[in-house]
Amino acid sequence: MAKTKVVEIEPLTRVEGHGKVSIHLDDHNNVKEARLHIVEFRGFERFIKGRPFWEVPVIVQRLCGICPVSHQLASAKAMDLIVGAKKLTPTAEKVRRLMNYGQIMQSHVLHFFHLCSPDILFGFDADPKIRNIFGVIRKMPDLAVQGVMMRKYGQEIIKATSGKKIHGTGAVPGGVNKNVSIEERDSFLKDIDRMKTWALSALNLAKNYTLDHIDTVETFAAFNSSHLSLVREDGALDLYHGKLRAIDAGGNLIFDQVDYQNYSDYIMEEVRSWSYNKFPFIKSRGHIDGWYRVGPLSRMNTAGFIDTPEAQTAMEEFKGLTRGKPNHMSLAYHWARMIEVLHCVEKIEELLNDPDLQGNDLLVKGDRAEEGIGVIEAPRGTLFHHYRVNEDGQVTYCNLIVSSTNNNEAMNRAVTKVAHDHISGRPKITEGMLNHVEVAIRAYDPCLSCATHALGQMPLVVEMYDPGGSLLERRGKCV
Amino acid sequence: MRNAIMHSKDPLRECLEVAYLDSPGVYNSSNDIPNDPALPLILDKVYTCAEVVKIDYQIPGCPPSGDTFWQTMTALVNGTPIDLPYGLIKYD
Repeated sequence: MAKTKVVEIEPLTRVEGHGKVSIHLDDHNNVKEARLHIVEFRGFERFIKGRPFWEVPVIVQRLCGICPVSHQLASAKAMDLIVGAKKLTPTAEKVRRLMNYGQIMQSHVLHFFHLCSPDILFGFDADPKIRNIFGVIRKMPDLAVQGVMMRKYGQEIIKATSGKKIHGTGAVPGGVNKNVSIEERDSFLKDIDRMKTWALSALNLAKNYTLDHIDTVETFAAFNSSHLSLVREDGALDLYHGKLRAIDAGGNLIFDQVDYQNYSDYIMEEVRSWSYNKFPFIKSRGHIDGWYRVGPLSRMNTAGFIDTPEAQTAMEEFKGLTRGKPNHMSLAYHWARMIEVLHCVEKIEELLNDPDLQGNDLLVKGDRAEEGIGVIEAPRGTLFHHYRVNEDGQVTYCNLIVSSTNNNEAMNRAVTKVAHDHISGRPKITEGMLNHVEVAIRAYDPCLSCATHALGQMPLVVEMYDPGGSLLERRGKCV
Repeated sequence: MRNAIMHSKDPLRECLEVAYLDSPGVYNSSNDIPNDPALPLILDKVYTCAEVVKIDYQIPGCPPSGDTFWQTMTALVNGTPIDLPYGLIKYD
């Protein structure tokens, strides 16, 4: 029996949460199989049972410290339906939207400047002693400072709308518990032009990287897939609310304008033995072909246009690269992400100039319902929250499909393709080769803490096993 | 709150069944919960980090504030005792 070597990359670095990659090799170092394992199980869906429904938007934020706002808003949207609030007041909806734009801005900025920039500024194979955030600070101090300041801006928006930067309480069933004061508004308006300038320069950095390295970007972890997101009724990009749209690899509609209260008629989740993370798929296409991608790249593919002028111009250029057909390049996520940052800044400015933010009509109530589903576009993609609540106001059922879970199959495909293209058949496996695998995963900015309700500088260990599971060799590397 | 599942009164088994077997939207051809050797076993209870690995200094909070980090790091660099005022270690 031929021997199989397994190369494990654990822990994954510069991603949110914990995961590991295993690459199975034969005697000639040909890749037989590669997998991204999600190694945590957290069980939110079970222990949320029995909790009072109004507590849920606060509890479920503990899924994550990076995008708590997304979980707060998705669950609050579900609980709006539980309290019979079919339409929020203009103030409530706009405060929530502002919160969401602040959230997506700070999360995207954190990823681009701090997690991804070492790879694109220094190269995937660069010396890991330089290829890290401290290398970025040394080489491009202005860029590093912009990253920190833009993230801070988004976080302050969250604080003003949610009460705290992390794990706040602003969105409540039926609306919000505070408006935005004139003083808060003015403190943000003061810096908005600087934010737009920096958002444009980050966008140019991401775009120029893509265009200057197009040979790499077109092939690296690139593969055809379907794409899914919310879109507005007129097909515009909408990160807070809309209807579900899915397109196939050629850009044809699989479904469109689907009310997300009916998501379970369209989406299912497959369980596989080697990951605590499930694999969602589009029901009508089956569990083998039904997988899809979500997040910034998918949103650029599904949305027809963007309703803010500078981001729209950027989107046209983005779509021009693939002549209007869906873009399937994993590395194009970075460019798409920076278009969204610009869009968020434009939207934040638009909202800050809207006097509804200072309104005092914050809450709506109606007839109680037993079931509510809330869906939102989180930084990493479409986020589903589904609850049932009994007469006593206790949660009896909870199902969550989080953004990074939607990209589970796609990240596995990315890992497999990069392992085949960059590791297979090479006599010696180097740190740089293994970093290629991590670069592919990082493109999706996965949040593996969230994905397990249900991935700096760290030691990387390569272990090789024989088919019986005995350890053949263990190499520790300081990277 | 990480692994807060363990605070649930129900046995762990039921949590896993809810997540991987019994939910209406789940497709599970093997009818097993994930059990591949590549996955770590789920622990019997929640352990604090200090129960598992040696920790020299701990800063409480999720997350600690920027000021808390700053004061802690400054004290470490200067070799002075870490003395955080109540306001920096009080959490809601």
